[in-house]
Amino acid sequence: MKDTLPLLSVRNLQLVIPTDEGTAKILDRVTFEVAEGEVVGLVGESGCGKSTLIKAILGILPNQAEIVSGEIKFGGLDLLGSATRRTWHAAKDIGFIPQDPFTALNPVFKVGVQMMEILRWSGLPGEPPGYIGGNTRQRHREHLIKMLKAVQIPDPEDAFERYPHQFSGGQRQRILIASALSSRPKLIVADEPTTALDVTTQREILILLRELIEDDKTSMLLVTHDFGVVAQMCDSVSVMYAGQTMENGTAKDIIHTPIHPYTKRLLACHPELSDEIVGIPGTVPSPIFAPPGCRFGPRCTSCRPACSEQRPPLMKPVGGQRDVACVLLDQGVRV
Amino acid sequence: MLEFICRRILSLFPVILGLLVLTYALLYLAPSDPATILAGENASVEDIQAVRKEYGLDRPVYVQFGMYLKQVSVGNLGVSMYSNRPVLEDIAQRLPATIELALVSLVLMAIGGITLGTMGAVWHNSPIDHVTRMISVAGLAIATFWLAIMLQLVFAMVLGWFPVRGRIPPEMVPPVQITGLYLLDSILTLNFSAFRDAVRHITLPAITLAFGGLATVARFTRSSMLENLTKEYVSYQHATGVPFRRIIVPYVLRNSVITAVTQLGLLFGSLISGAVVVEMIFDWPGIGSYLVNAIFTSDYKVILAVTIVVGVIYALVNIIVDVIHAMIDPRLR
Repeated sequence: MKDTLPLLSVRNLQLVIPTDEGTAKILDRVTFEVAEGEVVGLVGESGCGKSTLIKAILGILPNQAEIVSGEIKFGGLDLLGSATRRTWHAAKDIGFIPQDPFTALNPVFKVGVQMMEILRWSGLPGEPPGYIGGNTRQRHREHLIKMLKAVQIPDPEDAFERYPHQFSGGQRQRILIASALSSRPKLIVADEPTTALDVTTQREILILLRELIEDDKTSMLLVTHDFGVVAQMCDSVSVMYAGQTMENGTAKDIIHTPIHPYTKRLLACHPELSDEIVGIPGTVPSPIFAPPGCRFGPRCTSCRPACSEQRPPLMKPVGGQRDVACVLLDQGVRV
Repeated sequence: MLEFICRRILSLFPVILGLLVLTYALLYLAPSDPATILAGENASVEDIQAVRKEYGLDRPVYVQFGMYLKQVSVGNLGVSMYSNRPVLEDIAQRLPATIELALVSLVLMAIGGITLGTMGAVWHNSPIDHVTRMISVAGLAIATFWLAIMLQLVFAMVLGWFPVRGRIPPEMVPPVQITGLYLLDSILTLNFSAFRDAVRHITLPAITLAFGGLATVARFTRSSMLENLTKEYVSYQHATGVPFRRIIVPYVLRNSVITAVTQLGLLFGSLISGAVVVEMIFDWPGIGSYLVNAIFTSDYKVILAVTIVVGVIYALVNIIVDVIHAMIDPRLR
């Protein structure tokens, strides 16, 4: 990663949610960074805490969630400082693209109304959020129609007055992308933005997204479970398993020379990135009954007795540009 | 939209015809004989026969019904067998009172029910929620006549805040009739003292009539809102920085009142029939008390006419509800 101060940095984030059956250790020392203008892929199977991590970054954690340790910094601002409330600063500078375009839009309000509402509370650059006086509304409207044009929605003026069900899934995702980019945020958080779409639409949406953020040098945190998407989109990758960061590095390094056994196994699940397809036996452990030490241990073919005692810390291999948390890496610098 | 409304209005006619057949059949099967009642207590058999002939009651029932249909189709609802006044005239005079009462109750039900339901959902499982739930259960459990008498006792007789009965004070001249709704007429004619009196008189009966429906609306709004709060679009708006209170009103609320509006339409029917009891207790000169008198005197022309009028109103209200529905939810258009 780069030497300059990262735009978003998550360090040693440990988060638990108490439940009736016991404390769920959802995130266990998650660490990664997003530099300015960088696209970082956050990869992991379902149930590994990706969604909770996003909620923590966006400041919409459920009330029961407890941060045990760690920090999330965004452009020098402590995002965990204001409890679970998202700060205005973050609303303005972090755009969000949700997973499912079919359910993210309110069915009984016009698309334009909903886009206006979101832009109202983030504001255009230089505008205080929530303010709608003077000709702000008119300005927002014009800006949003321009955004709809940018995401290739046909006849944007007319689209503004239509309802979500009158658009296809791909078009709805374009609308959500336009909305996320409308306040010109520094960072886009995209939660599996193409999972709900069919394959051909997926490609189009990803290409469009890539173009749009390259124009503005916007950073992006792209959550996905698909290494194919990572190869196409990302500069760097952070691999998570059951709430633990396993390996961080550049997309090239991770895809071509993975170190962590989990990364290797995950890559092996992808036909286009691997010669033979092999699944990973077993399932992600429940965060309540997570094994001590490395949580991938029970499914790992290289597992050693030490793995189940204490989790190996994230280390930088000598001369390497990445972080790995695995006993296989015995030489390195602690991150 | 226009085509939709026209279609719905056309569908009114079979409904009314069915209504007429059913009511007529019920009256025919009922044990009381209108001719006997009309002829008076001391009438001889010949007198009763004469009355029967005079009113056409000796003809076969389908002929009687056919004659009645012919009359109704030209807007003639017949003459009351009891007072000899044209039924249509009586209804025209009394209907506005019932409509006014029902409308005020409907507004109370809508505003009160939706507010309570929303509060219960937003502060789910808090003391506020418990209070709103208690009110809902009370609304469903308490009998109308009991509530009416209690309200009269406490607020009219002990506290003296509201009059016990009637629509306006007996010595007062009603406001100039424009719509027949005193509240509206008194405002239109800038007669504010009449308006104040009309409000005072309608308060207790309207609360009585609204209470049960209010509870239903509150329960539907609450559960629908709780369901909508878990929807993806709520967490999406939250994630993009829209404040919670803005997400509730209007975004979640609009989705949640869809079921409440359906309920309001159905409840309007029960408002009209509920008005029968409330009008009797509060001496409200509406169509409900008129109907009760007609039933006591076996005045079948009146019973039929009131049934038609109430049926038509009910059907019309449900058309309006469908239209409002389509306005709230674009997917139905």
